[in-house]
Amino acid sequence: MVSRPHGGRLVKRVLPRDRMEDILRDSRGLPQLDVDDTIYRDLENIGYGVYSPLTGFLDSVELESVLYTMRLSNDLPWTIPIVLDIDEEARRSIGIGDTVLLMYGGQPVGLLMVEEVYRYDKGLYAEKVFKTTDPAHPGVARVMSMGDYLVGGSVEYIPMVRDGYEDYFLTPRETRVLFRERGWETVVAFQTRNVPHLGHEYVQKTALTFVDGLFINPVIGRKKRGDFRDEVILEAYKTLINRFYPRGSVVMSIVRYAMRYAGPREAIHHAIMRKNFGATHFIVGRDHAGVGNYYGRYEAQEIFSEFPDLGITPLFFREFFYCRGCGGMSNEKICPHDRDLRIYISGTKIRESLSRGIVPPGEMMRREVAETILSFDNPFVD
Amino acid sequence: MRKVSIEIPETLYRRLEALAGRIGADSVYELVVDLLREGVSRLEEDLDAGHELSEEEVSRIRERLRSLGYLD
Repeated sequence: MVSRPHGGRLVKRVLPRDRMEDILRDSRGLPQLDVDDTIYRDLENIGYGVYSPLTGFLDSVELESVLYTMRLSNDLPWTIPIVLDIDEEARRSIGIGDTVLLMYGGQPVGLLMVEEVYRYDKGLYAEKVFKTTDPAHPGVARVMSMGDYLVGGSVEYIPMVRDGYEDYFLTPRETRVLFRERGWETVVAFQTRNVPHLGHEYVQKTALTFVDGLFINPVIGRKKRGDFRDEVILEAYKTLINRFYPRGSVVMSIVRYAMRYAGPREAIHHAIMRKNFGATHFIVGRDHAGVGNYYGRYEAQEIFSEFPDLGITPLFFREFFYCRGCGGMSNEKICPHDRDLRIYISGTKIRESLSRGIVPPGEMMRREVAETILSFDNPFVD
Repeated sequence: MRKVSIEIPETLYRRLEALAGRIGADSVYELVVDLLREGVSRLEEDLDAGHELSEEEVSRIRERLRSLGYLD
């Protein structure tokens, strides 16, 4: 039996097609708010139930509860604030009880029923969520650049924007049916933002040894210069799955989500998202969702001890490497050899090799995966 | 009666403790048993009412999964 949705019931807040047409026809009279990429993706995730039990953006009571206790006010684990910020000008244009049309890239993407507009303390928000107020931290930088007010209220998502990845996206309802059809009772989820190297493969296969299926769930979305392009990540994974995984043991589908880089808190959030997709287990590696040196190497694993009631089982892994002493892939927990016999897998080295058109060493990445990446004229974001 | 131990978050326990006092329950234990009875009944009703997915919705999903190659 796959996981129960977080909070007991899978949320669906997607505007039905017939109502969508009416709303869009009558939308001229509604106040409008432009939302950024992060909020747009949050809106989609609320709509499809990836963020169950949330039905909208947090009000002040829920925000305070999440910041201070890492739980919603009903005690359910929830670690990342899902908020919609506005500036002073927007605040003057909307009121409590309004229905607001949310716009992204000039297109309507949702309806927001305004229940509360409130001020918040950005420093406190950053300190609680990111454990720092350093503006060099990308999550802190975003919070500091947000509007001075937050709007709480339920939403309905309007699935209008096309990004070319529709065929790679499955909603939690769809993954749950798929897992059931495949007869999977236990499913381990793996979150990724990168092309697969041997370390990823060994983590995934080790986990798969103990469960029925592997759910690879790449995060698609905003990238920085030099990152692998989304289509490259997907093609590289397809090569790996088709050539090196048992048939029928893997499902890959994307999730659109803006990373917060909140380390331990975000690891819990990622686990909740995958629980809603139906996963029973979630892989947490070294420095999960971290950035720079803001979090301890395994802090994102340690935080799970505070959530015995999470409803999804974390699987903790140490860093995998190739060990010449072992003659294969190993990790800190099981390898008895000296460090100088180990070849650590470096994302930077892999990226450097590939950017020069060279296949990285076989101890780091499979040739077939590298060749798939190199088949793209430019696998990197410009 | 069979006794089992269940681990719950400390924050939740503190709320139960406060609530038990306010509503006059003899103990947290009594309150938890009452709440569980209510919760279990509600869950059973939800399942009986088929709140999760209708057969029609499941068929539509199966069709999409087939068209995308996730199902044979």
